[in-house]
Amino acid sequence: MSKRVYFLPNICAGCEECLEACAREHQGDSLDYIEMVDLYPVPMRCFHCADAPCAQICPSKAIQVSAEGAVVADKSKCIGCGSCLLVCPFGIPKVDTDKKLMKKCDLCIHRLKEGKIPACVQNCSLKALQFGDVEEYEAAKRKKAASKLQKLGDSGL
Amino acid sequence: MLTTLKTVLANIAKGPATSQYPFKEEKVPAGFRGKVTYDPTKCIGCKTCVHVCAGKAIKINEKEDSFDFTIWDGTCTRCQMCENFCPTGAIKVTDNYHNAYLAEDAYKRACYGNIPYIHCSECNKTIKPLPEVVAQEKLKGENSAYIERSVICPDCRRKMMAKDLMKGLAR
Repeated sequence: MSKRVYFLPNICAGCEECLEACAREHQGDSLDYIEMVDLYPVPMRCFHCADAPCAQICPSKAIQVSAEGAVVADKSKCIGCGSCLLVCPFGIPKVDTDKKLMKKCDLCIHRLKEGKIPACVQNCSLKALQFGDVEEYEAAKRKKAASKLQKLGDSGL
Repeated sequence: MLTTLKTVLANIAKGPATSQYPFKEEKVPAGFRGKVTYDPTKCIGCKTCVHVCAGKAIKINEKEDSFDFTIWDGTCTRCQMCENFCPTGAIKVTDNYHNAYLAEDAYKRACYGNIPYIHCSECNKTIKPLPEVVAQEKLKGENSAYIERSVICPDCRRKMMAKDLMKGLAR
């Protein structure tokens, strides 16, 4: 199924290496964000919704959900209207009013086609960002919880 | 002589062949492109219509706390491109064919709408409003997240989401 970028909490140090890697991949524009919640940095990027509201409202049909499950904006079709910004529940798209273009994370689709992983994940030195399958991630989490329960049972509680 | 009289009488009985236009409304054929109307309650200010308008009749003027929308009726070429491309159906081409007007009314013939921006409930920044009709029709209105967050600016939305993520992940 579609692969996404996941964030593991309490590991991210807020080094902004992902932002710089993103800027290197996308002609100098970083399309990610790092939001500070109290003292903890939270790296944020497009969540690539399965039923993306931005793709539904886009008047020129520039935003499409690709076969890889990535929500990708076509630069040649985008008119920079900002409707996607209006409906995005996470406030991710960046609208350049001078160039009349919208920019957002495209899950490094050009790298995915070459068989590589997204630049932000590859450059995260602490491995706080993970790239993987939705189902794989769920299975790993289930396994972790199950092993915890097993331990509880062993200890006789 | 008799045949002529016959024809004249038959024609009188048939009634006039031309339409009595100013005194009687005339039916228009289906698909007739007449005057353009604009519904400000559906407009999201995306400027697609400005982009596609063949006659450059549509103007969107962005101001500090609102934006003005104008369709100049005299410049409109009735090409229906705006209706075709309007993502929310705010612009409609009607079958109103009354195109004659006095010269003094030339600058009064325009569809005008003023849409005020809303203020972010968190930081008071001005943002474009998301009309309720659009939320219902375009986004199916099933997910209330769009509607709840439509009064918050994107920056605050992102911050809120980061906070929620942190809360959920710290468990």
